[in-house]
Amino acid sequence: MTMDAALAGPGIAEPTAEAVQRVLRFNRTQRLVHWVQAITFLILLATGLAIGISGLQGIIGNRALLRETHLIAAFLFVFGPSLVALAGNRRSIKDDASEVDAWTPEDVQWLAHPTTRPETWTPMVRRYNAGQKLNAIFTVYATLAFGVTGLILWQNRRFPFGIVSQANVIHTDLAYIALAVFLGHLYLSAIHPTTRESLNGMIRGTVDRAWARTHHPGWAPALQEAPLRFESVLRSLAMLALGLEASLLAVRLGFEWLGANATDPVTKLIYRFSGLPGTLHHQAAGLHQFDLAALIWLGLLAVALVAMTRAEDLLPRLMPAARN
Amino acid sequence: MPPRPQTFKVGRAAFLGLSGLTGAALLLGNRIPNAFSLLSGGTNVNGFTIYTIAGFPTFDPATYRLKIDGLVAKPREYTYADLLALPSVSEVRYYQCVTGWVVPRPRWHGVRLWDLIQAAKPTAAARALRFTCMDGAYSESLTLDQAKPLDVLLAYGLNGKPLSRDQGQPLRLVVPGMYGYKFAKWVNHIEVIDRVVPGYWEQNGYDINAYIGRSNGL
Repeated sequence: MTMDAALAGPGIAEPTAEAVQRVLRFNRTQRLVHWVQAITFLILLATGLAIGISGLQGIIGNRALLRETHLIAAFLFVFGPSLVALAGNRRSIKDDASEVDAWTPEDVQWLAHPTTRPETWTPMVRRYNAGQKLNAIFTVYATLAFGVTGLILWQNRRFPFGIVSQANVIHTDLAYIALAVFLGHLYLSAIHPTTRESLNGMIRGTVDRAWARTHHPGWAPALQEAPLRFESVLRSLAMLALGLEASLLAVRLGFEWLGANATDPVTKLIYRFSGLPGTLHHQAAGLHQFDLAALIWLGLLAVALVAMTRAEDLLPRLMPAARN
Repeated sequence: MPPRPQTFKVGRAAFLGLSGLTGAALLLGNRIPNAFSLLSGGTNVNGFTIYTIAGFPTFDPATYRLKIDGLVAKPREYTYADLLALPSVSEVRYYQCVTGWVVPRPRWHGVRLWDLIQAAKPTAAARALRFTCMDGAYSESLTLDQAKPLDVLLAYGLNGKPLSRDQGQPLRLVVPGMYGYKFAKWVNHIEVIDRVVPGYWEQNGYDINAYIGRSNGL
């Protein structure tokens, strides 16, 4: 069974005419990962530019609100996509990662002559072409780099001045680079006539079969997505909630080690939502404090999440009937 | 599935390489001043990023006057030479901009603000100061109590040199412990008033009491 047939799942007896014409490019998990990061990125870009460009600041004002919006969006930007991937179809995200990781000589050829008209010259492009792979690599890298430098700027009093000012330079430079990459991505996916079919893949999930054959000849697409099952949606929502709580606790543990800044409304918010029994109150938390209760809660959540992932793999084997 | 073509694990290497470069820039970049600053929203002088809301006014020592008036018994006017003739003070104080960048040890040279205010003899109703600037646009505020500390200066020099035009020549307010937007540049008028009037950025949402780490949501 190929990877894509596995994604399509069992239970597809007769493909409809629509399914023959259109093939599945991005499943629900892949689309949701993309849109969580896309929407938070746009919020971060807008608020970031408003904070960083002093001319805009005079027009918009209310720096404190911009800053809080930026921080909350940043939290979702950093943790959101991983949580969705964890609660959704992990295997498809893992396959995406291995395809982005693995480069063939054809990818190098494609980079040497990138084209948006592959019918004129077609190296054996598989699910992703080299440009799409570079975009994915940059996105993962930028998420990490924005997250680390952003954390340093947020908790700037806890870091040496040289690191803070350098974090500011990197955060700003990276924002302009990311803006350029984003505009290119937007153009190719939504505007350029020969490539904009790919936007359908990210919105509806499917792309035109002929388009897929031209642009991704080396890719064996799936026809249809497995139907949504009530219990798997329920499990995904539960995993999202547990994952969010775990991320909040992880950030909180980091803060207590750095020394949380209790005057910061976003920090207060993190403390409120991660305030499980026995954990420190934000006013009590200080520099290099060790929050044993938060660490234990984090461990329990991790165990629960792992158990839920295992259950997904084990249950169908234990109860084959449950699959239909 | 067709046999997998020969592949090279490039993605992970590219990711790790980029992350490593960024980490190195983060830890070592400040040893090479501004080596990695591509587009930091302003030019950089002596470690300061330069901002202006209305261009750079021109200073002429012959016509420049610093006026101190309002709720005072003795309104005063100083020429640039008068200011230089007053007792000179130097202060080295950490400087931080509200946007995050810092200058660790700038050395300011100037006169104590409180000396000039006292010389003008504020009346009993006086509570605050309003600073306006040669560009006709920027303004700042301080309460009288905030103006009293000995390290609050009107600076005409930085790091042993006269202030440059883009850093506020001839006179710049220096309020250690507050964010950089309090450090009004090109100051030419101080009005003594009975209540605080928010300055330019303060009308746009910045905190009036701009203490580093205790304002602006930081």
